[in-house]
Amino acid sequence: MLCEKALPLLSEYFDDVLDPQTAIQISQHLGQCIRCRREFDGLSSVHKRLQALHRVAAPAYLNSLVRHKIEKRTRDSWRVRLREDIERRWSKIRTLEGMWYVTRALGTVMASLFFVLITSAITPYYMNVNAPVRDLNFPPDYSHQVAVNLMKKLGIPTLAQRQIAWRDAAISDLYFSQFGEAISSTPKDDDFSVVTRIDRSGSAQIQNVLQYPADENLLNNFNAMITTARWRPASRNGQVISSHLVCMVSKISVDN
Amino acid sequence: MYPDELALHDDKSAVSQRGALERAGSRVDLTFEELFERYSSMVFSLVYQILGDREEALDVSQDVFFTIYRKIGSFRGESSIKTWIYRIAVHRAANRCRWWSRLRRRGTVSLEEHLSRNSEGDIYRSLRSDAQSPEDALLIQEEHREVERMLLQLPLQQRVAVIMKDIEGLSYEEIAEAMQISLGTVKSRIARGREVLKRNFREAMS
Ligand SMILES: [Zn+2]
Repeated sequence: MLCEKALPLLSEYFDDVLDPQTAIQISQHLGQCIRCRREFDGLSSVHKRLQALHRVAAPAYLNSLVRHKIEKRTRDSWRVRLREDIERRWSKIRTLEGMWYVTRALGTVMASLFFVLITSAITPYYMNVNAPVRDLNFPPDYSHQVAVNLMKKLGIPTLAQRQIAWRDAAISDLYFSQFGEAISSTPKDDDFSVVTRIDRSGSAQIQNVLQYPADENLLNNFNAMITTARWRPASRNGQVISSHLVCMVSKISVDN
Repeated sequence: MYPDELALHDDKSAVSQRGALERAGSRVDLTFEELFERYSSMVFSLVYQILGDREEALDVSQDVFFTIYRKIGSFRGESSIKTWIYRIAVHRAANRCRWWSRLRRRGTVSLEEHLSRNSEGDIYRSLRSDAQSPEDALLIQEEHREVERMLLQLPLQQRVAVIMKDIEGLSYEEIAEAMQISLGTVKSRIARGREVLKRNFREAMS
């Protein structure tokens, strides 16, 4: 038998669990090979030293501890047991150095989470400039509807002057609305009617003027007025109402 | 050292245990008291050797016997009660050990550090009577500590197998059943464990 074959079997040979034939081969090899003999002696010395450890006696009060635990656990409800279990584990973790940092990090995370929740609950709704309009739950033809509704309210029958492709991808995310005041069947000097484009940041640009004021000078003021207007979706209790837009115009002075 | 309330409430606990004991008795023919009497030092010693810490061993031993108390009713006798108890003890001790090594991986603390902090000079091993003098006793104690330290350096699974074979003196079959692994795995774990110990002992000598 070769050393390579004998060496891995020495442990089993030592425990006397090999089949008789292999055991005889190993024992013959050990008689001839100093190196394997040395390994075998090493094994038996390991065994001797381990065996010398012999059993550690259990302390007498282990019995009391076990009975105490059994009695307590049988008496307590599962809720108490669960809580104690968690407390025991937690106290173990808490006594370790280093866990302090973990606890602190956890606290920081919880605090910032709380902050985010609170602020998102109390701040008003802001339009997300980059989000597609669909995210706001507007119907695809929302801008069209707004424009049409506004024009109905203002008494304008149709957008006769200009055809706009409402479902055009380029402008579908824009709000169109009619802006003007006191539109009547007999236009006065300062009547104007316009289609504005309100982009998603809420700033307005004149898209198409439907009806000019007779006074050309008024047009400049009108431009100033329309660009200072801000639009936002209406909201109630922090919820967006997709059927309404709110227009905010700061007061502008018209000087002649 | 231990408060009075841990001293037994004999009457009550005896009553509360009787139910489980009667259930156990049908298959095991031993009361829980007798089981404890017979196997407590086996469990404690095994767990102590695996974990290398007295307080941990006490804690885990309590868990082991509590598990035995709860599960004895479902013990089917497909293995001997001894290997069944060994299985519970090995399982519990290994879990505790893994818990410690998880903490170490997180960089918090290692079992070894914990031990060196908490159980300095805390070895209550009963010395064999072959110690002739106090000096001999001290030497033997030193030797035991050395071996224990070496044992703790073995990978968990090898350590458990070697302890069960060389200290507890179990057969390969019993170890396979207690650790729930194949006979071949037992053989290789013991062989590898002993090999590492042999090497380490030699290094320590030179
Ligand atoms: Zn050889």
